[in-house]
Amino acid sequence: MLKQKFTSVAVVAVLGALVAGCGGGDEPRRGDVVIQPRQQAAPEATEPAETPAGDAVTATPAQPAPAEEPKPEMTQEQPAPAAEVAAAPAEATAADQAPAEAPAAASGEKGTTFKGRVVVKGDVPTIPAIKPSGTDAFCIDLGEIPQDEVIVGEGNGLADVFVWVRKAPSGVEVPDPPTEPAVLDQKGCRFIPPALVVQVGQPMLVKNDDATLHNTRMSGLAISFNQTVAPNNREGVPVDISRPEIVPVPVKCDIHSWMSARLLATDNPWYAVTDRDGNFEINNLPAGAELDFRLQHGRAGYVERSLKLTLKDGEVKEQTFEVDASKLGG
Amino acid sequence: VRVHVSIVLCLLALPLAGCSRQQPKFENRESLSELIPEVQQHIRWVLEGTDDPDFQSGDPDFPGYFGTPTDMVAWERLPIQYHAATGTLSNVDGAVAEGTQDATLGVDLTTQNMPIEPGASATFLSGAYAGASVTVEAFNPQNGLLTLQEQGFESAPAVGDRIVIGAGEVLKEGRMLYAEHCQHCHGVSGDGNGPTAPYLNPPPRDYRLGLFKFTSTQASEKAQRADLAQTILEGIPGTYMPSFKLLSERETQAIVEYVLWLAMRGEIENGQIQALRLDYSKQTVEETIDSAVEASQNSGTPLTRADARAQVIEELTAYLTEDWPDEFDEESKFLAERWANAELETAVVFPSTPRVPDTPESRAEGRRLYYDAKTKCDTCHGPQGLGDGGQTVSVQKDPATNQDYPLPGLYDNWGNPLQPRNLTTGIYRGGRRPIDLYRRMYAGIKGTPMPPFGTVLTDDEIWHLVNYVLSIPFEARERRPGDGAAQTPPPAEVATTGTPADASN
Repeated sequence: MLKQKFTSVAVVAVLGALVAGCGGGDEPRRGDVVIQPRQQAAPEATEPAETPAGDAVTATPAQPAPAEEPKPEMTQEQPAPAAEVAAAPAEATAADQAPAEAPAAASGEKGTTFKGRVVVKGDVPTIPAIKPSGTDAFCIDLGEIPQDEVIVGEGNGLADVFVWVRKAPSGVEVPDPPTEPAVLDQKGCRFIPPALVVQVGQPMLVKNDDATLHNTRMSGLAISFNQTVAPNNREGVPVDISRPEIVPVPVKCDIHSWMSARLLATDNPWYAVTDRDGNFEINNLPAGAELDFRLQHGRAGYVERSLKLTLKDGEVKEQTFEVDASKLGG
Repeated sequence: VRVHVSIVLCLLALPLAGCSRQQPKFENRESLSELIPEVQQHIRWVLEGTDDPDFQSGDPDFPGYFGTPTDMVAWERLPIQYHAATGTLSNVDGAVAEGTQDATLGVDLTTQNMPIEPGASATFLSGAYAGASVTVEAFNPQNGLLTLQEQGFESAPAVGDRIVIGAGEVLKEGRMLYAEHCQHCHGVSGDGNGPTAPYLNPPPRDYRLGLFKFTSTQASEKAQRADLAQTILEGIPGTYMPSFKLLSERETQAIVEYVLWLAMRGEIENGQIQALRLDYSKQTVEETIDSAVEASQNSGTPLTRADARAQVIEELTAYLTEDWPDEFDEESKFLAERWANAELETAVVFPSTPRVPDTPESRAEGRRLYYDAKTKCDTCHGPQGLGDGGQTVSVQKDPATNQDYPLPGLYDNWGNPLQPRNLTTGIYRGGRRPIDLYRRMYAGIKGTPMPPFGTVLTDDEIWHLVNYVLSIPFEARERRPGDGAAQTPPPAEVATTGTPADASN
């Protein structure tokens, strides 16, 4: 190691701390800093005594998992080193070499399927239509705008419930995202559809079919978007969806505050939104892998927090979910 | 007698209390307390390394990714200039010094934020000496030769080894200056809740959402260092944020780095809380336990509440050991990337055409656009620019809950009520240069309902609006601020054809 000229800096620092503790004046104490290197090499910690003025400088690795002693090689349990190199998650790599499974889906084969219904239990609340507030004559002239928050159809089926696999299981090949853009339109001073799912990598557009200005704002943990969409803009403003969100993100228009929709970004194509009668169906699920489904409704919150299913090839699983009417509010 | 005793005790206690220095500490977000204790412990461990939870027990000395105000952690993943300088070794010929000569190391500096003073530490980040520190005797910027207060290495470090000089010096200076100038309003943890904060309106910025309002960057981008430096330099007119022009450039930079660091700390904290509270808030866990117990009643083996809770914790532990490390890794990488991207030239809003000359025609065109269907400036800023448009009296909905706010008017992302700018005062919070107004219109004001118009208006149209907005305070008008607002917009023919002077009559 080094031929160091060691002084007893540590002792001096401790003495200094005692003195400073009493009557150190108003001068704020300078903090000590420890370094967490980005690289995976986990070097041994150095003694605080080596640095001037009692500043402790140690080094720890950048992984979420804390460094034990420095290991000469990173072995099995360790996830891919945090270095820039192996950043892509397993499923993203799989998606790159997406196999010829998608054509099978197109030809009408449904494969492994999860389907079912979401129904409201109890008295369905009546949510009044929206009376546009503010100053925008275009919207005010519409009179009443239908509410999209709670839509209950035939047989108490609840519409606009998101059903999705919360995370693509590792080791499963994820089909490429669709190249067809997902479209969020604004028509009659409301968002259409009120519940939209986009797979990461799929293009997305926000359009405007009204003769008035809208802006579209969504801020989740990964999505941060805010743009105005000109009146009658049919080309659409592109939205970059580069990372999945854990739950649907609220979409708002600041100009018309009643306008509300939800956008979910997933890392997989195994999702559905219930139709007007509360039905959903997800086809071509990967067989044999444990899929963690989540069901969420904008107003009711979780319908199902976590439903773990492992389906056999070609299996069709059917399930009905109930939502207590009280959760839908009045 | 008892009273006397307690007074004496109190008096005795006073000097003691006065003498023990209170350690500054980062307060956690209030919403952290809504989570079950196990998850709270996990998040504190991520931030400060305290209370090593069972599922992470590996390194009892793990300092967390941010540490505490007095023991800060420079997490290299984040794009923050923590150190006086960083570089790689380019020449190690003088490392194994002969006799009493001091060792020298040739260094290619990659960043330098402060002068390299004698006595500074130099710490190896990679190679055989990774983690070790030596003391600098002198640095020659001409040839990049670092002379050390050491008599040489037994075996030379390798060329290409990464080294930091003055480890954490910028962050330390930033913290000291922050404590002196900023903390009493913005708070120790940057939560905008320092001791003076309750008396201020608008409230001081809470950095922990990683959002800054007045930036030069695109709507979807973070703030640049230059934007924060500009705010420190100029202050925010019309608010309690003063100008700090007396700080040197280096001091300003140190504060900027520290504020960025606090912002990223807040974002990591918030991200963890948001991700975990869906499943592990106290309320959700209670509900999970209820339904598990209820479901087990009909089966042969009824569960007790303690059993059901143990199951939840088991699930949590499995998640935190198996999936969480990768997820956190990606999340922090994404955060670092976003902040790094904000520094790129492509992130900055630059008009493609120079400012349109400030003519009466341009102002008239700007005035027309002010009321146009594609801008609707008047719905917030008011028909006369008094900041009293219809939106300020209509009830808005909280995007997080989709419920009406308790009071009418506009709100920002921090949940504070917000006034659209009164454009007749000539006070512009984000700066009064034409380019400042241009950027406000092009990219909006982050965290507020002021939307970006870059996708709707051409550059020339924005410049017309800039010209008009800058002329509003000098418009002759019958009504003055304080006279009460007229809610009727001007007649259409005046709005489209008239010059500002004509329009007011």
